[in-house]
Amino acid sequence: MSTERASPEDVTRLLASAGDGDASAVEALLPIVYAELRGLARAVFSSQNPAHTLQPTALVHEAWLKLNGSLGSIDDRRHFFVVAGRAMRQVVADHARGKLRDKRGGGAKQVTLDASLGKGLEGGFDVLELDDCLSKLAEVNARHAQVVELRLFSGLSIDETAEVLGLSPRSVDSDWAMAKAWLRRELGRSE
Amino acid sequence: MSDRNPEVAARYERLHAVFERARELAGPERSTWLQQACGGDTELREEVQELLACLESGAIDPLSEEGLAAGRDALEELVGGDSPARKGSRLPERIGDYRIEGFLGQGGMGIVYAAVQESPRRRVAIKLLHRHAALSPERLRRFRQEAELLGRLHHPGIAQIFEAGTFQIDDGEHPYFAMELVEGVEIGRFVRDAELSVPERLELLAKVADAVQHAHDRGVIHRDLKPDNLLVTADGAPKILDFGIARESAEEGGQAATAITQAGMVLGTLAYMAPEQLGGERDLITTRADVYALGVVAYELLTGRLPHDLAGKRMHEAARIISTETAPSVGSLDPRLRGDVETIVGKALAKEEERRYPSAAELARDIRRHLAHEPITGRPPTAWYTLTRFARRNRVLFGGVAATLLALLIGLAGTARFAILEARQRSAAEANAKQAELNLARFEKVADFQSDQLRTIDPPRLGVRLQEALLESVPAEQRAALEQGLAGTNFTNVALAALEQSIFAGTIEAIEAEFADEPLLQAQLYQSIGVTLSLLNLLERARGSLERALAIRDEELGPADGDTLASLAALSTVLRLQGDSDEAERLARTALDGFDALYGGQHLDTLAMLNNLALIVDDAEEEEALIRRALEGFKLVGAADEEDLLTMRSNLAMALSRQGRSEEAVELLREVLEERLRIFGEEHPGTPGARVNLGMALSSDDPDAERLLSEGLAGARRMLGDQHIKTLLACLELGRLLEVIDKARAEPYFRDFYLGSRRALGETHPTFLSAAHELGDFLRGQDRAPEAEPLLREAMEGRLTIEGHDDPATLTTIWKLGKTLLDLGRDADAELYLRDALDGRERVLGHEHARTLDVATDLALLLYRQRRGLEEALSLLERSLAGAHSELGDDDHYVGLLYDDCGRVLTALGRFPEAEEALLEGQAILFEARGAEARSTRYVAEDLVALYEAWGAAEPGAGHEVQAQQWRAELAGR
Repeated sequence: MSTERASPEDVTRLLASAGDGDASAVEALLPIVYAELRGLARAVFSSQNPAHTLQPTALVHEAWLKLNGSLGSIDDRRHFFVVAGRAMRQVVADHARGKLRDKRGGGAKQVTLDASLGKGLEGGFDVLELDDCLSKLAEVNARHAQVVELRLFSGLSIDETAEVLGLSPRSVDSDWAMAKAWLRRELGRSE
Repeated sequence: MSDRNPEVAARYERLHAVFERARELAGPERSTWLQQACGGDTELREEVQELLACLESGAIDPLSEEGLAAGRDALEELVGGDSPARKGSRLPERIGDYRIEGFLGQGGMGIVYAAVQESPRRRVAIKLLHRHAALSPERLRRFRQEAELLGRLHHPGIAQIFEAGTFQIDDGEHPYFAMELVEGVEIGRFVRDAELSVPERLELLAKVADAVQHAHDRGVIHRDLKPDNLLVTADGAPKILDFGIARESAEEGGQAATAITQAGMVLGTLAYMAPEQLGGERDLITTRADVYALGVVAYELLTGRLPHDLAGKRMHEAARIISTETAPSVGSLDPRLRGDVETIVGKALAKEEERRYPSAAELARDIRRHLAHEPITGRPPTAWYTLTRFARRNRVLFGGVAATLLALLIGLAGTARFAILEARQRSAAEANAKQAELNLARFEKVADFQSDQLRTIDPPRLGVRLQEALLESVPAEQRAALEQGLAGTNFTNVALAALEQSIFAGTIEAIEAEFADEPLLQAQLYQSIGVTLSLLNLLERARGSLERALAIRDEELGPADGDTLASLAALSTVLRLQGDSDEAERLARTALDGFDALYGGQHLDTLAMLNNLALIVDDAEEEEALIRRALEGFKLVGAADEEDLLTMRSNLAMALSRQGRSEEAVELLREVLEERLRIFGEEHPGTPGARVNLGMALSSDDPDAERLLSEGLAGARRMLGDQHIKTLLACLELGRLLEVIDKARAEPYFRDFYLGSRRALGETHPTFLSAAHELGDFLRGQDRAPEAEPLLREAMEGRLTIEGHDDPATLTTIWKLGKTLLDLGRDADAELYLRDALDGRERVLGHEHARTLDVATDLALLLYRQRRGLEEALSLLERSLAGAHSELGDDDHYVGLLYDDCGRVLTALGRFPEAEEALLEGQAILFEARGAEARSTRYVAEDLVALYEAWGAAEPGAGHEVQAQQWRAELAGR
């Protein structure tokens, strides 16, 4: 994956193509967004704070600002969130696999995707398992997997997800409920 | 992404379908549904139940609402999450040399303690920053440098920074600042509690701006000005806290922290950030970001609210609003703030940095000027500003044109200078004057080509497109309102103003300054630009340029030189367009004689001059002769543009038409149309005009007239747009025709002409005033005087201002308004206007002119109606009658009507024999002209009855009663 910095113009151009339905533009964007998110994630992980709390939404928003250099158009942002949701998932998984760990950091520690912000809520998932389950879900229903990516990794609301995917909020709500139940069951099974 | 296993995918779909409905049901209803939907498929049913249980487990995990909400909040928390304060609420005992006494507060950037310094002994505030990545030696050095800079800020309005240092907490070095401890209240609370008046609030703001300027002068930008950082002490002096600290804080954030995530932790801070700060490019932030923040503070202190409502908005939405939406002006919230204050705040809040006050000092100055009732430098947005702002958003539409223009003009000036330099070098090197001349000639060619390019700009069209694009840029539901709001805006003028101010003004200055040593070249440039300006209808500026060109050439080359004559010719054209016909004619004749003497009668310049003079002269026969000479000459020389020749032939047709030779005119216009179609085709912008010209020339009973005008109008709409002057004039002509042949269909065209010209040309444009006049006069003709009156008044007032009282058009409107008032029964007012019009026409056109007599007749009828001033009425009518006799002949219908009018007045005067003579003459003429059944013929008969009755009453028994009876029988018999 390329680690070269993309200029905001590149990103804007690719986003516009992605918006026009150009699948190759999405493919081209993915590594750029991934690289950016990975950089951001590394900065967060490298802090001395022992609680490795990964906050996907914040990173996605930051990545957006850094990549685009401005606030851009709403359309651009929509496609960005689609791509970023996917990329964020990769970053999280890669991080869990230890790829992002600072070399000095050493030992393989299980990283949880923690919903809480230091308050110690129970129920974090194992990131890699979630990633596997999402891949499985993508095989049985790609759209449901995308809804999860957008909700979970891009931090979009039901309405925003609906807007990005061009669906009604009602059907996103239904997809989300189903996907959520299905994922919880799958995650419960693998334990 | 594809569903790779169709069977599993189908199963999942099935599950989803049952699950979907089931999750909305509860208890027995859910069981019934599952029973019904799954039937014997118990596995399906169990699976759905399992999924429902998972959904409803109440587990708090990343997929739960709490989990998602936490994720969404994460952005705002990204920075705050690792604040030292969260690691324990225990106060540190000391920080540096300072003994910590208490906790003052916590903000986005850090935590503030009250502390005491031992030596010098004083109370201070210590601000300990959150970010805690260990400082490298390099960063530490920069941090100290920065702190030193901050320490140099000494201003009563700035909380003094005494020292900066680092403080070791368990996880590393934290930067801190020791600063003056300010005892004061937040500025917003202060103005509320102290109930400051608007001027007092403004004075306070000016003081804050002074302090900000002090820091800016020393290279320090605040970056985070907001009421929280602005305290007011007990004696009413403002103090700014945290100068320069936002930068430090941002520096400490390292790679991951952009300005927005740093300062944007809370939307309260975002609200004070300039649009350019939201992009996260720290290096781009200038002192003007602080000016913007001061604008927001001013807005808030004056109106009690923020410019933008960001409550409940998510970060990116808030940022979008700040970057794109214009805040309501403070004047719209509080009428006391209209005018200067509104302008000042608006200028501080401008989204584009270059439009903001360039410095806090300028802002303070304007506030104080306003308080001292002096004119401020900030100005409300001009049309030009609106346009450029608009153009920025619509580059394709406008930027292209403007940029092209600019490039051409820069090219023009550039080429000129290059040519001169080259010429000079060559002539120096080769001592070859001929070469230099050659270069100059080459340059002239280039310059001509470039000004040719400029001439293709069509400001009305540009204006129309501008307006259309502007309307399209707003949501559909707001369009009508915007359109209404723009009704008074003349977009052609806006487009022109843009061109004039952005390009031409600067170019002329450049010509004056850059080419002072090369008078001939300077004159050439003035000439080029002057001609271009005149084609764009920027006449005043064109005149100035051409006068300069003429003066220089006259001086350098003498009056008989071809170039001098060319300047004379161009200037004459501009004067003609400005309406100064006498001077225009004088110059044109001088130029014509000059060209003739210099080049002879068959030279292109001489021929063009013949045509130009033709456009100026009043006399239609001379006009015809001049155009014919020009046309013949051009045919002989064979060098004229086909389109120019066609235009000249159209002009010739108009000259013929003015001489009453309409058949020849129609014939010529038919040829012109056919040739246009042959050469340029249907879709050429000149073709609709040729149709309209022919349609106008045809008599109204020719069935082709309406067809040609309709087609011409449709073509003009299609090719030139609804608001192009040619389209509007086509509307007018079609309306005029229909007024004669089918009144019921005419009104929309008059209205289109009226509304369209108002929009395209503005309310002071002569064509708009004509439109108001035409619509008003049409309505008057439809017996709709109440609607006609305001339109005619609008036209009259405009024409009085623009054209002056004695202009023929103004006098016509005054006359028509008088007639309208007559229809409305307001005789006293009507008399005033009619006398005014009569007096004007007598002076301008003479006593016997047909149009003077029209007014005389109307005034006579008014006087007759009131049965007063009958002698005057009679003398007016006799004058009209004499004029009509000589103008129209003895047996015209109109002459008959005037005899009738005279007869009625004579009857009223009791001069019965003369009345009888007049009425019988009128009766005979009308009978001949219109027949016995015509309404006017019957009216005369009625007037004869009235005459004989009156006569009979005055001289009973003389047989007049019988005559009355005979005419009565005549009327009844028919």
